[in-house]
Amino acid sequence: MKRIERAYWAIGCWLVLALIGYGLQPLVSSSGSVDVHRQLLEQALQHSLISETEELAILDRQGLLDRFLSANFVGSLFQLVPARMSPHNDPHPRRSVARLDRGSETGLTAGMGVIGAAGVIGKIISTGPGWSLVQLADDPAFVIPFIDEDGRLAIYAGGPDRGQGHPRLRIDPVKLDKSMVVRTHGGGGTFPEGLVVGIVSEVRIPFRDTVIRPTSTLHQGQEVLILTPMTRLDTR
Amino acid sequence: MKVGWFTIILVLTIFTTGAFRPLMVKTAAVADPLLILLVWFALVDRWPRIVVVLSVICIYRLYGGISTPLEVLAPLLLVLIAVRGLRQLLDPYHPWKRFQIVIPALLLGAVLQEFVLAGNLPTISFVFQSCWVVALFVALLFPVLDLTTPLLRSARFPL
Repeated sequence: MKRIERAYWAIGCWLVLALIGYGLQPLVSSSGSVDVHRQLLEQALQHSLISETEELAILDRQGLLDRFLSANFVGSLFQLVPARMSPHNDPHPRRSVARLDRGSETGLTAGMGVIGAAGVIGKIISTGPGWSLVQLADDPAFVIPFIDEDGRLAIYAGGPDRGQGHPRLRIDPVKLDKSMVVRTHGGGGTFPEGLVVGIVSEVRIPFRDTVIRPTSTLHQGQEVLILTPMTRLDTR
Repeated sequence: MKVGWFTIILVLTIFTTGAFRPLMVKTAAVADPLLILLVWFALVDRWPRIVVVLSVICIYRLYGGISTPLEVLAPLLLVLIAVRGLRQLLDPYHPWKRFQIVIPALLLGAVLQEFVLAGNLPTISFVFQSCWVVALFVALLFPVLDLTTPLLRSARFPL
């Protein structure tokens, strides 16, 4: 076989391998993490740690609004903007991103918090007319303050793997146990206090190697709410 | 330069990165086919083609994504500098010795990428665990890329 023929064969085989890779993607992408999350959630419920995350099913827009409009935080600091979130593959393989069907025309700007039925989804990172990109809670660059059950403060960061987060920094003497629910601290102005950030899945030493699992529906299309800060005029 | 085949190889590499994306996330992108392609060109090819590959990767990752130019460019440049530096010491044409250039360069790039993205350096165990992933992907992709050299007229690969 001539060298040029071998080159054509190489390109052809490479293309076939890439196509096989695309075909196998649904099998490889972690369906196991949903089961792990569900199992952890059941454990958490058994211990009466949380009551409001009992539904893992994705709510419709009205259900989501009803759920959070009745929550305590809504009255004071944030307006809720409903939107449809769809999965989006960032060209950078390490980034974890989703796309919203609303953007700058509804006043959305970078830095606003996005929540779903089971808690924190991510933050808006860029907007345009009719679209916004959301940095999801398992993105390595996603960082928010969180509190444990006793209200002690630490910093949550996304990653290192897909569907995972970890505590990056301990500010108070936080003690994390398996199946513990960690919640937003409320500092920073992006999220109000008390939203579910995730459930502690594995406790490890050192502290920052502990695994926290955010909601299992992060990478699925779903209805979400964007937390837009109220101005002083709005609150009157 | 045969622009047509050069473009096809670039597109195919981007396609491969998308296809093996779930694996890519788990291995912290140390075995990113786009980086391996850049390293393959950087080993022995001329600067204009290396710059074109670098530019295409940067534009592709910046367009439609949330990464900043620093997050995209810094690891790529470090990989490039490491390869061009190490090739002064080791034979870049040798089918096995070139692995001693490629693996450290890709690991350095991955470490910097994690530092820029997550703000902390990966552990030593991460580096050791990543070694075999890089070796495996390079061992898979380099022979295929070597076979395609007749399609790239100006390529300087005597393999």
